[in-house]
Amino acid sequence: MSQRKDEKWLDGELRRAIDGATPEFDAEAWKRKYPAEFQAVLARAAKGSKDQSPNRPRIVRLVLGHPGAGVAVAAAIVITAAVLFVGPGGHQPPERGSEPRATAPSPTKIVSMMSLRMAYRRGGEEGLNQQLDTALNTLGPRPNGVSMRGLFDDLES
Amino acid sequence: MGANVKRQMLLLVATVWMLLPMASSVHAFPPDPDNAALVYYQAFLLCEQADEEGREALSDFARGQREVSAEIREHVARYRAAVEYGSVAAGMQQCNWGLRYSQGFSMQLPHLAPVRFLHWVMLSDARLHAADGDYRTALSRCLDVRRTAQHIGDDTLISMLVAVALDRSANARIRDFLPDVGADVETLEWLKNEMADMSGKLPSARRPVAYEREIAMDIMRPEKLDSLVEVFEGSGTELTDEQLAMADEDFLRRNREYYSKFLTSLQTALGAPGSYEQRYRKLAELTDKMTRASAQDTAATLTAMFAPGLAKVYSHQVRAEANANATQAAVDIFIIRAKTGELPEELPADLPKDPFSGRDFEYERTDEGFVLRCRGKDLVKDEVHEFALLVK
Repeated sequence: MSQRKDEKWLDGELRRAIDGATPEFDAEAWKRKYPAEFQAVLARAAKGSKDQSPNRPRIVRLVLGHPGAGVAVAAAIVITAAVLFVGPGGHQPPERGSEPRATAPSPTKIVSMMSLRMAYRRGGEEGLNQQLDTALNTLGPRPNGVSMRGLFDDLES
Repeated sequence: MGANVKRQMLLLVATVWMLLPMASSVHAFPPDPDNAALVYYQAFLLCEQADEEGREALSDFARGQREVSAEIREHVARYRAAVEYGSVAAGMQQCNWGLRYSQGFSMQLPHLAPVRFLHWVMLSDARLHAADGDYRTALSRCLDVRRTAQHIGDDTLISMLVAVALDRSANARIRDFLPDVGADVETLEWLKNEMADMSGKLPSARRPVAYEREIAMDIMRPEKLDSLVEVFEGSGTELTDEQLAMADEDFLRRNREYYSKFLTSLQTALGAPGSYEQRYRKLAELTDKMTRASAQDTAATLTAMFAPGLAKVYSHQVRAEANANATQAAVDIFIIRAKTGELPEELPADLPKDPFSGRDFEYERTDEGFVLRCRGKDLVKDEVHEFALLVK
């Protein structure tokens, strides 16, 4: 489908919705227009009715088991996809796995015995010293900026 | 006075005498801690966090790589309280850092980084006192750092490495100050006695090797596999899927056996009579053999990962001993000069020896002063260490 044709089709659907009329899906028109996709959906629907895996969501089994459900489901998928992909701003859903994962190790790991041993093993005395410098940067100590007066003020407030 | 009255008076005096300490203790403060680590931890908390530039300035100044300046004085002045606490802690007998040995290789050693920083602060303070002509205090600070090194001790190999590095730094500053102590025989004799007390108490690799053997053997068990993986991942070493798949009970048993035999051979080599060179070469040979074996024998896999690079660690230990011995020998030579007005022509007898060769240091008088030179080579650094002392 070209983007322009999609937009025209969607515009028509939206106009009908705004006008108050309930949009109706023309399954026969869709079947004529997308014969290959229709056959693929029918094949999946047939397989679905034979697949009695208890792990499949019950609602999916019920829908796909119903005669003609396959076409309606496919249409719903197409409409949903169209709204999602061609909606305002043309927003694309985020790609799977693109969000950054927190992989940084805990800062306290750098002063574990094993970690310090590995630092020495890799870099000798200098490697060990660098890791101890990093530990100092990361873990402190930090100065205590609160005076005794400040502590009492906090208690009284 | 009747006998009864006398008896009653005596009883009264005895009662008052017994009750007196109790009365005074009602108003006494709790005693200061007798665990030096508690005072060190307070010293750490009293240290204002320095930025990288500040830390570098302190570290450079402590190592004699920067001159005294108003900026340095101001910087060090911020740490007066920390220096005082560090000095008090160094003078205490017992030191228990409260480490959780039950955690094995995951045990945290959070005191090592701040104690390293504290030693820069204390040696910087020493240099400032020396610059102001107060050599006794300057030398005291250096001795405090040497005592701190003993307190860090040798519970783990890493502790030992940090300890010997601190000891080397402190000895280097002592040698820097000796020329300015000059003819002050009293201070030199005091220093000689203080250093003699510390002689032979440097941390060594023997105890941590025994300790690490126990914890490594404990962790190489099927029920501790999660801990094993955690230890490696926590140190930044990812185990491959292949390695994890191999880690069944038989694999761990074979690895425990191999590791145990290997550590026994290392400990034997470390404690064997002989020279530094003989011990070093034996340790290196054992490690090389194990490394080659681990490429073909899966029983050596965990040994290759856990085994300490003991030949190198042993060399660090000996280098620190050479530093300490050369400094002690130098103090004796300065005493002779202070008493006679001249440097001795030959090295006096019965001075601490060069641990790299087991022989006396080579002694050479120069235009600037004298040099004490090791007669054995440091096989890791591939150099012969020498200690040049200026005489003013």
